Amino acid sequence: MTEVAAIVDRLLREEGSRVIAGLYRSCRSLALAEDAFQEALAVALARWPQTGVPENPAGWVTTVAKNHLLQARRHEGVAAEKAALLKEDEAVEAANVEAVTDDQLRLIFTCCHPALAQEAQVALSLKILAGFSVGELARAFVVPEATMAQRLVRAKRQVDDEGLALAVPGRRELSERLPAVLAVVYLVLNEGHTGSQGELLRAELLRESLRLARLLTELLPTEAEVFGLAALVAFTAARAATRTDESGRPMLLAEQDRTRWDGALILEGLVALQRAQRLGGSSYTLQAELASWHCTAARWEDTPWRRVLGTYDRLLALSPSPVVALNRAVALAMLDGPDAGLVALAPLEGALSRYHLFYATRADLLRRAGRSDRADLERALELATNDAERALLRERMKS
Amino acid sequence: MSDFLILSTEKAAAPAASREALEAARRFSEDLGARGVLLDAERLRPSREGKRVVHREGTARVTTGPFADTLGAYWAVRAGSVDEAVALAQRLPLAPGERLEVRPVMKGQFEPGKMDKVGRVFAFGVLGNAPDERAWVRLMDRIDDETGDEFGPDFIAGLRLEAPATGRCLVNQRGAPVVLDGPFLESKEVIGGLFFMRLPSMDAAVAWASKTRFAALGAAEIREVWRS
Repeated sequence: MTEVAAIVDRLLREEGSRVIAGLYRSCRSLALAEDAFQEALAVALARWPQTGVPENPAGWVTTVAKNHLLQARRHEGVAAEKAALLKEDEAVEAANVEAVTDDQLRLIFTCCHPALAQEAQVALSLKILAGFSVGELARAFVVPEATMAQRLVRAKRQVDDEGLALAVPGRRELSERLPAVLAVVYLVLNEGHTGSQGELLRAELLRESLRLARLLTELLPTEAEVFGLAALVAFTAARAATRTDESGRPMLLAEQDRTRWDGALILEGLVALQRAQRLGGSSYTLQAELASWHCTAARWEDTPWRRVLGTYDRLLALSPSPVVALNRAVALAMLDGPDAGLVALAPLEGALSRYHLFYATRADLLRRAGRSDRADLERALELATNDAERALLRERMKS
Repeated sequence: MSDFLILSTEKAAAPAASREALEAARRFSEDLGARGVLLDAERLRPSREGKRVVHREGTARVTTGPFADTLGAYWAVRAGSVDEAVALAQRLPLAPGERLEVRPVMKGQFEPGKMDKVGRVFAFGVLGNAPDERAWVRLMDRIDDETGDEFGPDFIAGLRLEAPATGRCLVNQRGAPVVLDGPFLESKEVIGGLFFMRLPSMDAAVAWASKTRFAALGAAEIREVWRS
């Protein structure tokens, strides 16, 4: 990637949602806003190698995109009509501070409009808000790229055609749309935590999810799961510094230097978790509780495995999932030994036969039980897509 | 019956309240609630995020935390006497070196549902620095007199505390809980009131406080209230 291409890529990921949110506010069309943004990025890619990168790249791109929008409007010959509409909207906004005060969050709630299928909501939000490429989205949802591209085009068209873009969600609507919004923040968190390709730690996505989660707690202060998710995000961000070593190799929880965990973020997580539990949280709250057991253990040996197991049991009772069952088996192995863990893993292989962490985990338990882990490590390597994780697996195969 | 404020002081520069301490605080709140004596309770975001505003000779001076021995959390309770309030406060286990203040409320009101509404809430501690108790009371009287119409529509609730000498301190000295008179005025600024405003940001809170008589006469410590 050339230097300019790298800068444009960073702009897309880090500033894209802010730029699009602003454009979206002035044109009220998701398709137009995103087109204008992409157009401006293309102009930047063509021009910056000659002119040099401007001092404020995001501002430059915004200006170019706005001009593009203006031209598009002139073509449509509806400039006057649109301008009147804009003024009216701005008046509504000023009066309705109780609704959504942040452009980006408003954009999320629009992307997660109940008229859209949930998979479309999540895909659209990630594309627009986190600058995900169609390829990354396709991998995250395990569908072909063409399918994902289609899904996005259709979703954007629906937002614009059905006028979803003009709706400012009210209080009750916000609650109804919450699960999809939380799913988006959660996926952004996961992408920030592990990354589906290349670079392991996407610090800007972690920051993004932390910012969005905090904002949601201000806007929806009595929704338990908002606080559960905010706690989960805080606990994950607290450990970001030790997720990998200097060379980018992923560090296991057992090896991480816990003195480098961010105590302020852990406290933030604990406070949010308390509120979530008091308000009656569910799945995100339980996941946050799991993270909290690790975050508050001074050493790996101090992990309260009995409590970890208890939380996994409640999580599984709430929503059975083979990935959760996989993690529960790890906790069980810590309590009762690797053989107990292997017994718990056996029924999961069918559901997880394409999941590299299943084989990586089983390899670890086999090794600890004194048996050969070679075949499972090879299978894990075949399935893993993240470079750093692949490097770690190769290292384990050598030892 | 009177109202009392149980103030838990935050350790200087240490945001790392332990899980055990947080859970003890939660159980303490539940216990007070079950007894029907709890009026309000909140935890504040760490003081390293806080600001103090002092206004002297035409300019506002703003300092950023952490602040030593400042407010970390509070419980407002109804009790028959200061000794009864101390007895309630003693139900919260203190870590070694940790300290609670129990202070009678002179006047004011609480709004326990403030954190269930949309937006950010900022707590303003009214601090007064005076050489002795009588001077401190005179200063607080003056602040009280001159700030009556400072509050706009963002005001939520607030209260004024009695003089420090009417309160008590609870400290954990080498593992044993001890009750002391006090807090003492000696060197630091002592809190004389606490009120809450719903504002969009810390910057907005600082801007508002800089223009008030709180900052002109004493000092205002601004801390965001945590949703706990």
